[in-house]
Amino acid sequence: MKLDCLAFRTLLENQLVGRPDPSSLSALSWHEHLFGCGDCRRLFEGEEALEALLATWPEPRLSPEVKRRVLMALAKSKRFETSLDALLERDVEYTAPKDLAARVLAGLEMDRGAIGARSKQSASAKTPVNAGVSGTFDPLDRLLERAGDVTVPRDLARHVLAALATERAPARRPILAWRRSTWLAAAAAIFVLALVVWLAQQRPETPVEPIVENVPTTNAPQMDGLAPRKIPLAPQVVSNAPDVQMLAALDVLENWDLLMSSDDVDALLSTLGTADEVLLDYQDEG
Amino acid sequence: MDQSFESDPGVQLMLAYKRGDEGAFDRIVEQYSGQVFSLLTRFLGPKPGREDLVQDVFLRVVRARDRYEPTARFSTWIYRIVFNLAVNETQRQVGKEVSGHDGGASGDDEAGDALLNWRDDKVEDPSERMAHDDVVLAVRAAIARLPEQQRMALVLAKYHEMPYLEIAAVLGSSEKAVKSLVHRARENLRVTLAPYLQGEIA
Repeated sequence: MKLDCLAFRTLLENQLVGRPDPSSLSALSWHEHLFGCGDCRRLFEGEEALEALLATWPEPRLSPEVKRRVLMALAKSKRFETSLDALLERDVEYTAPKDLAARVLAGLEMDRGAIGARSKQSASAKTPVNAGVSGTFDPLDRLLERAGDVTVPRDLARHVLAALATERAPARRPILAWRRSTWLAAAAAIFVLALVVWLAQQRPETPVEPIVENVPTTNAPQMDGLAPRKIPLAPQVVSNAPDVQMLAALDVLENWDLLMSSDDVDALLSTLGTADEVLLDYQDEG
Repeated sequence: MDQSFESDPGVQLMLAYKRGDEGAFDRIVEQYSGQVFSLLTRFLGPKPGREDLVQDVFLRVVRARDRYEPTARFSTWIYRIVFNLAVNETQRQVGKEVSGHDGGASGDDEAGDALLNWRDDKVEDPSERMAHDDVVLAVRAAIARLPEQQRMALVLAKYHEMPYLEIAAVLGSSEKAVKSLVHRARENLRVTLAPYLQGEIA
């Protein structure tokens, strides 16, 4: 109530000093404070009457003399004295905290860009490091502090640890984890090795032969005392150079008379085709 | 390793855990679970499932064990985890609300309304009893309506007494941006809490 009186009279004083207009006072006539405070109502009515009186003057203007009188009237009011005491009490209520210097230093340090652990250490444990910006006496801070309490559940840490026991289990046995990865690597290596061996077995071992087309073979005629020989007949050589095996066969053919009778030669010649004749011509030209 | 963080007890514990000291992790949980829970509560409000989120935070600590490098104070590092998780949780919740209500109020508004309607009849602790005060509920609801970055910046600066530089590390932002975030958060709260602020002044 005391503070309300102070607030109201400050408001009244501002109206009287700042805007000497009687209509401005009428705005205050319905102020809720006046309904509960007889002293202020009487003061207001007195000032309102004075203002009305002053309004009758040709040039309604609050002269320095009137201003002094009003202020003196306010100063003589007992309630005003009480309110002043209340104001002083309020001032005592907001005595600067012991760690104000630390807070100011912390705030200045931040503004100079030197924040961090150093500024935090320089302030007390409960000192907000950012107090320099937020304002220690800000009513908003007082509201926020009222709403800041959080009750941490009992045994929270124990519950968390119990819940994480399974997740931490692999981490507790790093050697097992290492072995598992090693096994995987070994299995992969074995698989790759087996694949390489298998591929090597699949590769053909016979040497590459010259490219020939339609190489018919025929059994040589049965000769006395000699095993039948498989003689390649008139291969069509794709490459320009004649094959070594083919030339060896031709050598044998050149000496047919040494190996066979004339009847055998005739029989053999009857088995030759056009391709064989081409080959023999090639031999003759060589 | 950055020498400036060597002396941080949390960093020492985490490095010990990385080297294989399982007891160090137990001490980390004992020392930081309360702070993590408080930060989550102040950021998300008293919604159910906060303990599960605390577990998720420390689960990420376990999984980050091998690749942990002390680039900041441990509290900064773990608060960054909390922030990412809390934002994910908020967005997940908003997505659920949007799919459920087909638009309508924003997630922040929903959170604020939930806070205003929140009552716990089983409260025994004095501080929790105080939470039943309308003013306290209004303040918490106003904080819950702040945008995520403003909210986290304000909560860390006001309640966790964290320097702006470290808040910047948590939010992945700059120190100037954090100053601006806190300033804007306070301006928003001044508007929202104007009736209560007049009461404080009187």
